[in-house]
Amino acid sequence: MKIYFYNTLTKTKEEFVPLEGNQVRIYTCGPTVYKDASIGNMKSYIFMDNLRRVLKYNGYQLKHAMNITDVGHLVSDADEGEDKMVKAAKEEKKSPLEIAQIYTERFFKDFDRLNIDRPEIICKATDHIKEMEEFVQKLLDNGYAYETSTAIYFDVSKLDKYGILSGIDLRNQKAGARVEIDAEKRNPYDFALWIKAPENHIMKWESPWGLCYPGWHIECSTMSNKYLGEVFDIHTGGIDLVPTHHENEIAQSKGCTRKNSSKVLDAL
Amino acid sequence: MHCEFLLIDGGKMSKSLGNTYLVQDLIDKGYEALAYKMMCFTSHYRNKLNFTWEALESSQNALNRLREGYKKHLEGNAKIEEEVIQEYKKRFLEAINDDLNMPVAMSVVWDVVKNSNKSKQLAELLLDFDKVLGVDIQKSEVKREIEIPEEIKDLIEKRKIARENKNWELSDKIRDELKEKGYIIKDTKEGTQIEKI
Repeated sequence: MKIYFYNTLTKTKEEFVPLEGNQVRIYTCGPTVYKDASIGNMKSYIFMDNLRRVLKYNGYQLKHAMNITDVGHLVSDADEGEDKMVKAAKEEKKSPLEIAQIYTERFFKDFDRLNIDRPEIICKATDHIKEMEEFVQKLLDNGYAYETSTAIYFDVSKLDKYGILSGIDLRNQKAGARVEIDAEKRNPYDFALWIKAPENHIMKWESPWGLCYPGWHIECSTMSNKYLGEVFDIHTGGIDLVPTHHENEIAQSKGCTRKNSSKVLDAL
Repeated sequence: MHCEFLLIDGGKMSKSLGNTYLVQDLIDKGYEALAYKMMCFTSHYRNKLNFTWEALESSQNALNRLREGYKKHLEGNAKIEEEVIQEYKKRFLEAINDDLNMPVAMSVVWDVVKNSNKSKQLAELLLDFDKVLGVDIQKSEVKREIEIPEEIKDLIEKRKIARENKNWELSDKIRDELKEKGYIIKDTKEGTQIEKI
C-alpha cells in the first residue's frame, strides 16, 4: 500500500518512496541535554516513534540517526547568550560533561517508559568536533563562509533560496530590523558555524582558527552527512526547530555538498 | 516532517506558570507514561494537542479498556471470517499510511475491541496493531496506588483491632462509616484491601 507523508517544504502530502530499495534513512534532531525533557518535548519523540513503527510495519528497514546536543546550543536559539550546557553546569555546580550524562540518561529513561523505539544511531555533538571542523573548512573552501574576529559565519546571500522552509524573504529584511547585528556580519541572517571562545569559556577545542566551539546547527549537518550520506529520506523534529535550526541546517548541507540533503523536508 | 506543540490547559507551557510537566510528574500522580502516549494518538501530529489532567485520566481509562478488550478477545472462541479481519487491517493500514493519521487508526482499533464476537483471531489482530501503537496491550491492568488519608488509616486500624477481638458489631460499624466516607473495605485471604469509590 502507498504511504503518504507531509513535506514541510512543499506544504503538501507526497507519496513516499525510499531513495534506495527497502531502506529508509532518517535524521531526527535530538535533545539538548541541559535539563529534563518535558512532556511537550516528548510529543515530538512519540511522533518519531510512530513514524519508525509505521515504516517497519510496512516492511522497511531503517537507518535512523538522532543527535544529542551537548555543546553549542546558545540560550537564544540564535547566536546570542550563553551556551545552555555551560549555564546549567554553573547553576548545578557540575561539569558540562556530568550535566550531559545526567540528562541523557534521564531522557532515555523516558524513552523506555513511553516505549519509544530508539534510532539505530545515537550521536553526540562532542564526539564529532573534528568532523564539524572539516565541514566548516569545506564551507569556507566552497565560498559559503567567512571569518570575522569572533566567529566563522555562513553567508546566507550565497544561496538563492535561503529562508524557503520558514518563509523568510531576505529581500524584505533590513539589516538590524529584527536580528541583532554584528558589525562584522555581512547579512543580518548570517549565522555562526564556529565560534571563537572567549578566554574564560569552559568548552573549547583547538582548531585552525584558534580555540573554538561549534555553533548549534553545524552538528546536525555534519552527523547526518557522516551517518546517512549526502542525501537521505526523511528529516524530523519539533515545529519550533523550523525557522532557525532546520533552515540553517539545509543551508549548510547545500553549501557543503551542493545537494539537497533530505527528500521529505527540503530542496534549496 | 515536523511535530506541532503541546498546549497545557489551552495555553503555553512555561516555567513561570509552573506547568512544565515531566513524564515523572504523570507517574507521581498515578498515571502510566503510556497513558500520555495514548493521549497523543487522539490528535494528528501536525495539530496542537491540549494537555489537561482530565484528558490524561480519560486516556489512562482508554488504555485500561484497550487491555481489557484484548483480554476478552483472547478468552473468546468465536470464529471470525478472514474477510472481516482483512478489512480491519486494510482500514488500519490506510490510516497510518496517510501521514500517520492516528485518530483514524485508533477508531479502527476500537472497532475491533468492541466487536461482540470475542475471538482469539481479533486478539491477535490487536497485538499486530500494537506493533505500531507500542502501548503494551498485553500488560494486565495496573491497580493504581491510592493515597489514604490519616483519618481513614486510623479507622482501618481500629477495625483491625475490633476484628482481632472478635467484636463484629464494632467492625461492621466502622466498615459502614468508611463507606460513608467513600472507601470500601474488603477482607480477603491476602489481608484487608481498601478501594476508593
